[in-house]
Amino acid sequence: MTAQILVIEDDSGIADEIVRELSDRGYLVTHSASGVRGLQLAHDNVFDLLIVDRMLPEMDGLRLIETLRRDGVSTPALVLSALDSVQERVRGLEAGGDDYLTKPFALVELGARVQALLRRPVQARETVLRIGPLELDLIERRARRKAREIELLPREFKLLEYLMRRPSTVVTRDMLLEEVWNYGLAPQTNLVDVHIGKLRRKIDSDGEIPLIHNVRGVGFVLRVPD
Amino acid sequence: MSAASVSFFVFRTDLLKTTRFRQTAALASVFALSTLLLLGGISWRAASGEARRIDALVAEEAETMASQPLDTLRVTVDNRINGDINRLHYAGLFDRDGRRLAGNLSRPPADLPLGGWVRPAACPTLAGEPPTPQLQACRAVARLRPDGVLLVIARKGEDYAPLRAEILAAIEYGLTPAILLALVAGAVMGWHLQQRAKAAHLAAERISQGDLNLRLPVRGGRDELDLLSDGVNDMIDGLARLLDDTKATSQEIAHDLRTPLTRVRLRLERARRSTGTREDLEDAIDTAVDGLDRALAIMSALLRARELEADRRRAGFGRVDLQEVIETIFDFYEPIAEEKNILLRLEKRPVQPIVGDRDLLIEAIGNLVHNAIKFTPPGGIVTLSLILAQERPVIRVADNGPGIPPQERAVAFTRFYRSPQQAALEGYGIGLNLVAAISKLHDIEIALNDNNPGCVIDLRFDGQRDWSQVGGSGG
Repeated sequence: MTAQILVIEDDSGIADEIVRELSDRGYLVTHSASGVRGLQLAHDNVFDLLIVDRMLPEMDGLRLIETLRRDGVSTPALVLSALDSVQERVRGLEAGGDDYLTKPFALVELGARVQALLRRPVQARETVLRIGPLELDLIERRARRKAREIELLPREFKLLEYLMRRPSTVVTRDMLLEEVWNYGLAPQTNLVDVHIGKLRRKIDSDGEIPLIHNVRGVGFVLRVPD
Repeated sequence: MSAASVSFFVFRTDLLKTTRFRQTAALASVFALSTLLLLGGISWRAASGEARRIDALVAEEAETMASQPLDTLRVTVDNRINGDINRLHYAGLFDRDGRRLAGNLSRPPADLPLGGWVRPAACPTLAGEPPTPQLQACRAVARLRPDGVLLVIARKGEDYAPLRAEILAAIEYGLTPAILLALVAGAVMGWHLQQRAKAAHLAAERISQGDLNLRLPVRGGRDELDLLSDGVNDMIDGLARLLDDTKATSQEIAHDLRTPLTRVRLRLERARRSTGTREDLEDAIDTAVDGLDRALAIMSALLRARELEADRRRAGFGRVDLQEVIETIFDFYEPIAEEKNILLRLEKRPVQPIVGDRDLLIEAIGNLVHNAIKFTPPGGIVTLSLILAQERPVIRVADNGPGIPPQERAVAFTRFYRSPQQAALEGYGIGLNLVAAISKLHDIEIALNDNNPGCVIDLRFDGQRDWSQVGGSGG
């Protein structure tokens, strides 16, 4: 079923680009330039995802989300904001936002986050994650590719767990930094690439089908060929 | 009316509103009131003194006259009355039946006891028509002679008027000029202060219009106005420094943004004109996007440094375990070092938790480690350690790379510093500036030393830091 997304953003230029990008990706997109109208729409319809600008005329984006949560609407919400301090991010998440994206952002980053929010990760109840030939035992802290044991450092284990909970979903460098390293500040270099590279060399040995892929200009994806 | 005279007029009426004038007027009022009280007191004392003097005279007279033979007494009484051209004295001789024998009293004053002190009474004079004689306020005394004749001696009670008049005149001629003089002095002082205030006001107006080189005039007398002006001038100094800093930042931002933006512009312009393939165009667009990202990264980094410098980030402060911090950093950078064939070593010992912002500390220390890895040639060693020096936790980042020449150490932590030797390596030159800003926020002392060869940077935490401000118990 096609996912339905409500975009609440008052800047028409940014809203246009978001609507086009998401429509191109096959989502059904509704746009509202007003917070009050957006709140009404979110109340009266069932959406799979809300994209809410932080600063809206008439009604602040965070207040909008707070109101929805109070009224029992739990649709995942992605907050867009020009305020990029850690505190602002924390405030955004505390208000009930599920993810926080700082302006200016790349459309691919937005796309990846939308995809991640729509496909909720495999829930934590599982004690063993299995994706294709990969197996990750969360209790024993062991990783295997078929019969081959893979020695992982704690951070690599966490990184692989994050990817395996989101198979076939593109994750960006910022998402990894935030979730795996719990680090809200953008680094200046290719830190994440180096870590992924190291993990990939352990997962995808010579002759094996590569499972961790680079998505150019976006990030990485763990995908098992059909 | 010319502008000058208008302003003069305005200032004359304004004069009445000056603090100094009002103070003087208030003081003059208090002075006048106290003078009045003083003179009133004097007048009262003088009047009562005069009354006592008269009473003594009257009593003495009565005493003397009471012992005289009756015939002599009659003459004395008559003489006393006749010789009194001011009509101040009263006297009367009355027989046992109360009939008047001599004197100018129609009958003895009512309620006047025999003997005793001189006291106030109402003297019935001969001026009125009987049986209702005119009563005159007086001070009187009565003596009953052994032969049964009653002698009354009195004196008119209201003869202090001249004295009061004198005192009133003294007030009129002395106090009024004194008050006027005080008001004039107040006006002069007020005008003087007003002139100084006006000069300060004009200066402040010009400063607020942007002339930040100007300061409020200071006379040098160290009075209240000078103290105030000095304070304001210090404040303007501080603001001017901040403004200079901000101006420098904007110029730096503009300068550093111009380079990548120009590159983007040129690249796009060339791509627009070229007749290349779709791939060429995509390449041009990618380069442009990279350039824009770079410009945006510079801008955010600078804004963050500014935000940090403004001390606004202490909201994120909490208890931080420095061991966890350096383990995270080690974990973060180890693969990077490995990739460059550099050995990253971790040395740590237990230390007390400190108060700070974990993410910012990771960023600052990460920056130092990142720089060390970047500038150390392959095969080198970078050591990240947590030690205790004089009971203060110290985080040390040491490498055996080329080091920082002594003459560059002082400026290494300023914004946009990039060692000329390292110009070829990528970097925005804002990393160390961020480190400095974060350190300042945490009261961390930065020490930059030679590692022979290489560089060693110490971040010394303040051991005295009071961290009761953060919830939870110590440990």
